[in-house]
Amino acid sequence: MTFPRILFLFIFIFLILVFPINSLACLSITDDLNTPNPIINASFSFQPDINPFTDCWSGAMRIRSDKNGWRLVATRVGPSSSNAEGNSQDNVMANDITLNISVQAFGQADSNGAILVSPFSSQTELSSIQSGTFIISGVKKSSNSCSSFNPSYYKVTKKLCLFRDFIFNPGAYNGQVSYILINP
Amino acid sequence: MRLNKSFIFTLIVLLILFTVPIKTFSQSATVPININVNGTLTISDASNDSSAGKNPTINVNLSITPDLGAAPATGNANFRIRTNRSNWRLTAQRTSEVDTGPTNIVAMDIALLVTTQAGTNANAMAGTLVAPFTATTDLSNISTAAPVDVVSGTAKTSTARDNTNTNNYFQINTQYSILPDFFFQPGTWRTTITYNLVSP
Repeated sequence: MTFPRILFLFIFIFLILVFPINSLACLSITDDLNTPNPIINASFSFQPDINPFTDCWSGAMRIRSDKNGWRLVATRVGPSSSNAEGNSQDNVMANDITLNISVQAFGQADSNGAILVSPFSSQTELSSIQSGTFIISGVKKSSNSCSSFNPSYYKVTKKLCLFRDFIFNPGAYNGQVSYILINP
Repeated sequence: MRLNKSFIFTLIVLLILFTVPIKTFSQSATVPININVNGTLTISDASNDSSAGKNPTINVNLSITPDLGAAPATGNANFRIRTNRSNWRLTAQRTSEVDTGPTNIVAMDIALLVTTQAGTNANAMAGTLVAPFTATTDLSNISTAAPVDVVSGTAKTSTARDNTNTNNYFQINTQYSILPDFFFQPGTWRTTITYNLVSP
């Protein structure tokens, strides 16, 4: 009789330590193909030209949460170049790239459940993303499930545009933005 | 027996905790950003400085009637250069003339003045005229056999970001003129000059 009680107590403590209550809130990011933890490449290859002025890319990710409180934060590195020749001020910089983020709710997700935080509520520049920058305040869950194939989610679309300016030094520029979904 | 049931129950609980998909975490997305800026060379018509005015054909028509004290007939072809390359050249080559007169006109009779200017967001020193185009010369200096250098470019044309391409131009003005000499006979004399922007 005594041994099972000790065993259950041990398991209970183990579960508390390994699964704190907040961690039971599920948070998920997928791409439009429902791939978890996606890598979404944003690629530009252009020549400066008189017209059209801009070259744009857009990509989307899906956010699912079964808790009402969540946050999307982002951290940026670059863009920087190792082979661009010329004055470094003429390199492509983060503030040369405009950033438009929009959010749509699908399925049971509340259309007011994900709120873009300023300055991302309107067009801004990629330079607005620094380290751990707060992008979206999630106030409502998407549904009761975070399954990758659950049709209830918040779709976050990012559009990056770059002016085809003649000032830019020819070369390859690389950078990265990491988005992380967290509990408040 | 009771111990075995407890173990089984515990294992089931753990199994559920570890395997239920909704409790797994996939909470990051990574967006690598790769930008390739390629070198470019553009020429546009100074009077139609848009994508529609790229690679222009600019006609210069000089009509003369020999007369005493008459001024030379003059025409212009002005075009704008934009490049983000730091090493470039503007070359010119001419087609053999077609003379329906014969008019007695030769390439040497047509004076050529090449000048440069730059917009406020452009480098006026991006390109320099190459002799003999540094002063008034004549069309005979533009060969029909091979391209000749007219401008030597040693820097990109822009000095600042200009996302409307309004003031980032390096402009080449070419002026052609001919005196209304009584030596010239009625008819039409024609040649075509092709200016090319190249990067070595």
